[in-house]
Amino acid sequence: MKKKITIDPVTRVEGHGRVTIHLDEYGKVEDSFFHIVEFRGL
Amino acid sequence: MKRKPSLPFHLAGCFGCHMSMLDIDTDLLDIVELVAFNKSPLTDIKTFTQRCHLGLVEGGCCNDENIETLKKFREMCDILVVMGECAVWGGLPAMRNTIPLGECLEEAYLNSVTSEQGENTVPYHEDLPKILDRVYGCNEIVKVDYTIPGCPPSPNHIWKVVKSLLWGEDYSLLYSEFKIRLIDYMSMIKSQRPSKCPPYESRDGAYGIPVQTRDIQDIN
Repeated sequence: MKKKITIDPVTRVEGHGRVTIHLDEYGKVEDSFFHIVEFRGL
Repeated sequence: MKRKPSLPFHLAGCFGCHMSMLDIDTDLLDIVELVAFNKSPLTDIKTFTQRCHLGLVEGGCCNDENIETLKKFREMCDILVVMGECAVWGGLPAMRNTIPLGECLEEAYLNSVTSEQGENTVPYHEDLPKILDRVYGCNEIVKVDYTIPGCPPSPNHIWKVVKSLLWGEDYSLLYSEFKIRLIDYMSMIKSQRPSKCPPYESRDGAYGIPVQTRDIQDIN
């Protein structure tokens, strides 16, 4: 079964961050992302 | 004495209020005696483990996840306190409220000075939170019990509010306290500035029309 691990918020950084790790049915890492979830837009 | 579960948390802000809270310094040791921090960036606890007595929120709501987090907070906290201008009315992120979101995103991701024509896209991913049409203050989303103004609020104010709420005492921030803080700040700047240094003027009008700023003396 596919699984997604989310680490949110990442706290030992300056600013906002989130890490998502996608695992395949064998529990191996398929993909991983570091997201910047905040938008200031100025 | 049983420690009351309390928590500070962070939405769309800059962590400045949390930094100001850390500036409570050695009095933090007293706070640790009185409260047990739950979900918070300080403890790295990601989800609520129990109902909390006091919730301190920094930052407004700029995406759908901020709203969910804030609602969860309201649900789990007996007293909800928002600290800092962002949480009170949106603060600096709310500067984008005068510009339609589409234009904001285009300017930031497509037409910025470093982006190449046709190379950039506006980020979209199922794991990314959805940006709201504008930035909302916390009281527009949920009922807020108390606010601590300031950008950031003085550590002294945060400490007094937390202490008063835990003991169930009344406390209002006085104008005189703000005034004292401003005068302290001004005298600090004054003492740091060499006496020969002229008042600041923008160099060669590089930022538009040169502005003659008032001398610190005038303000004092």
